Amino acid sequence: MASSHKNTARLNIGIFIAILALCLVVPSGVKNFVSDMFGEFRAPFDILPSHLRDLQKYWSLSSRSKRDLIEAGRDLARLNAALELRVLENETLRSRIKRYEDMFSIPPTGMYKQHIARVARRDLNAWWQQLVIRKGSIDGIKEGSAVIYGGGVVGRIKEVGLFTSVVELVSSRNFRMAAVFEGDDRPVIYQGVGQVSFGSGCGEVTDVYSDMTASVSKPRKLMTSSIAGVFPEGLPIGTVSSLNLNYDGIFKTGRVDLSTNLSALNEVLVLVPIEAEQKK
Amino acid sequence: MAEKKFESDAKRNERLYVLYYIFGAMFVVLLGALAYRHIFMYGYYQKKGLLQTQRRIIQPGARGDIYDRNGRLIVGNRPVFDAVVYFNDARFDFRREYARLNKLRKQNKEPFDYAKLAIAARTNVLQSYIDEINSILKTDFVLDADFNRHFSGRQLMPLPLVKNLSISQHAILAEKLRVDNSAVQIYTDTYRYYPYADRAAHAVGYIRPEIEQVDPDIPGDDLRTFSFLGKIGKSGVEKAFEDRLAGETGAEIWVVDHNGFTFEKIESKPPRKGRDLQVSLEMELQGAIEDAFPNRKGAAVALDVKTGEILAMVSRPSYDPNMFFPTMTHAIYNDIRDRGAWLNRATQGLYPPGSTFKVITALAGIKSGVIGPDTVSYCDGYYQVGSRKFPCHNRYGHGEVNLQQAIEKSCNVFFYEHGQKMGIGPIAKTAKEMGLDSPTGIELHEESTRLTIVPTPEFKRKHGSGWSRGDTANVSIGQGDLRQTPLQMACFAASFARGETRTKPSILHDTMRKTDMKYHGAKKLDIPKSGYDAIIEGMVKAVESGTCRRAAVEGVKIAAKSGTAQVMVKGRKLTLAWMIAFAPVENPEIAAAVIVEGEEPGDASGGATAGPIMKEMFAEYFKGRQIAQ
Repeated sequence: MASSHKNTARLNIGIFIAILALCLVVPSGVKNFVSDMFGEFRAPFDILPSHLRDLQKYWSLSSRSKRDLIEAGRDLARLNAALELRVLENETLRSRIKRYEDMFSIPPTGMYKQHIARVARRDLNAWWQQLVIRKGSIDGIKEGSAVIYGGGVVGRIKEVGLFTSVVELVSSRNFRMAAVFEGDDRPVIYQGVGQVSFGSGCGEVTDVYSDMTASVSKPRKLMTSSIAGVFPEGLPIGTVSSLNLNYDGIFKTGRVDLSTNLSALNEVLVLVPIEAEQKK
Repeated sequence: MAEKKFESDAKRNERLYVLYYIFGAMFVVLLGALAYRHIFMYGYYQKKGLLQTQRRIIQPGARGDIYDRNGRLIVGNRPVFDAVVYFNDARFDFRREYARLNKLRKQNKEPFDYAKLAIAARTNVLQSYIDEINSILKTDFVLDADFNRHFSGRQLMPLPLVKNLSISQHAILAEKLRVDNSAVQIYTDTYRYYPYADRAAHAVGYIRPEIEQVDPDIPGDDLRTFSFLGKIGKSGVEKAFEDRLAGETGAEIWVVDHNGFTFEKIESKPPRKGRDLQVSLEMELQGAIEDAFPNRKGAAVALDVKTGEILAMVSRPSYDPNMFFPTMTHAIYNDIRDRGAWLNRATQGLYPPGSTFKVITALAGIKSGVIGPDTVSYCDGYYQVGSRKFPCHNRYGHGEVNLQQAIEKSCNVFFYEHGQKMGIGPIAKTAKEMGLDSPTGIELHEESTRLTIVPTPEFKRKHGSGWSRGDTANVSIGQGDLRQTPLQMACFAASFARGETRTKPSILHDTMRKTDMKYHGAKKLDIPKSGYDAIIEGMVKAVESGTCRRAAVEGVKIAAKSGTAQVMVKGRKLTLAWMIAFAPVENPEIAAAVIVEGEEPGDASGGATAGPIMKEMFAEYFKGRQIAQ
């Protein structure tokens, strides 16, 4: 009996060593293929709970009384009417912008194709600051595309699978972008710093010119810059309540407080540059 | 029996004992050597080990900013962004590429050459980084062929792939380069930035990149050190206040692996920016004078009469210190040299002061009792000393002139005559009392080291010739061997305006400065008030209706004295246009000296050439100011 256990343990160790050795000698193309396949295999397991949550929400809403539903319907109708009005206003503004663009020969601003995507999974911890969304390359999502929501920047597409994509959140250490302060056109650099202990994710703004000030009573809004062509201009990233002069005496650095909504997002908008779309 | 004897003999064989002793002694020697190495030489080997495994990186701090007296930035630091690669971050890419190339070599059955393969691997990897940058920025940068020298000599320093990125290029790269997957980084350096370009360039000075002098407090001075270039002030304020402006040097000490790549940072001291400085210059006034200056060589200095603070210091031709970055090329250096623009004419230009010196002669005459307010001379166009006729600038003569009129009309004959009466002694003594024979003591290092000259018989004797009455006549009107800098003459104007003997100029703005006679090292002018007033009245009249009328500014009572000195340059008799002045006469605030060098015979004269510059200076200074009575 004891010898049989011993043999099994030896076999397991042998298999483990063989797999390790295989990993070392297998060409990187094969490894990438296996990794991608694993991602695709795992995708339904990310999507399914998300669909189940949606279904659960639907059932919980449908179990409400008729009166509640009628009231909700009325509210929705009002909201729809207001939004339709906004849509009309937007149409007017868009046509005006188009006219000005033609008049001054400015390149068109509508450079993104928009994809609305549901959030399937959130990885928000000290290691990862990312979301998995329920849209992938089959829907036209491209790596590096901007991801936003009503409150501003969410992040950037890091990996694209067939049916899902991974979004590197704006709070991630690996997320860096050019930004501007509201009312100032000099570019600064924003970078996420990850999740602080017992708090939400935050970021850091660097290369801020020394004449810029920010205080708790007068915080400054950090906005996106279209300089790199990834994000459209003027979307909020976060707020800066203090700026400290660096050792070099030229630039300041400050902490950026991000929106707390990032950890509770259900739906995001992916902006795929039309240029990239055309290449596809 | 014999066998037994043999065994007992063997046990007591003395020759074997000798062998034991030898081996024993050798073992003791070995143990001793081991102990010596491990115990006594421990410190030496430990240090040697550290030297082999540790490297020091020196990072100079940014220089302090310089502001004018109104808080305008006149010298700052401009950020410069370079796309760089740290070899340490690229080592895995190097290895991968090396392995690929080595595999190819084996396939092609080529001979093995490590150095060639390693260089090829580095080239390919670095080129791929540049290709990445080019694809992001849509540019066509190429790899600097010198990168291998950087690898062998400055391995721990970042290798610049693309220098001097624009702010937008920097922002685009920062956004598009993968943070977790790119060896390319943005390195921010600083260039000295002169927002006013060539304005006040000589006063402000310039800097040059030099190997940083490492502070002895920074540890690891015996380690192999890599240093970023520091910046050292080479002239002007940049040099004079080097200690204050220079940043505090920072350092990092790293443990490196056997290939020299960084492994662990064990000590770090961040660099710090130098202290800011507020100089006394007023950039609007400086600009007004420079704009009024004709396209000729010359200088101008304006002082605060009470404090001696330099309000403006102009030297023409000038240069733009921004051109010295990133490096000062030979072409730039030679161009500045050929234009004669390196010289700060305000502090280094030695010129005969011409008729502006007549104020000194008048002071000397009043002190010695030879001249009084009512002393009269008759000018008929010349004055004869021995057999030589010394001309007045008005060849028809001024007729009868007193002290005030002599100053107003700048009559040479009046000063020839009274100069002869008093002799060179009182004139030289007064000039020396007014500080015209010694440096002013301004903080700038460029003040003329060849002392200004107040000629005396001793001076001439030293230079191998005797003193004549003609020499006295020449000195009386500011000619001959007299040599003064514009700064000296401006200080003299300020001293005279206060009725004192000396002014200590300063380029620093200090609102707490105590500006009494003790500070300036001055004494009260030892002359009767009537004589002093007569000179001032003469200078006022010169502005109102005399030789300095082109310096007049409406609403401001100015006292001025012009001068047109003559010099021989390469066999040609050229003129120097001078003017000294102060205002307002009732309560002097600003004193100044202007000189413009003539280029053709007779094309420069004090009133006509220097006068309009003085006018612009005073107009700018008193613009919007309440004139104190």
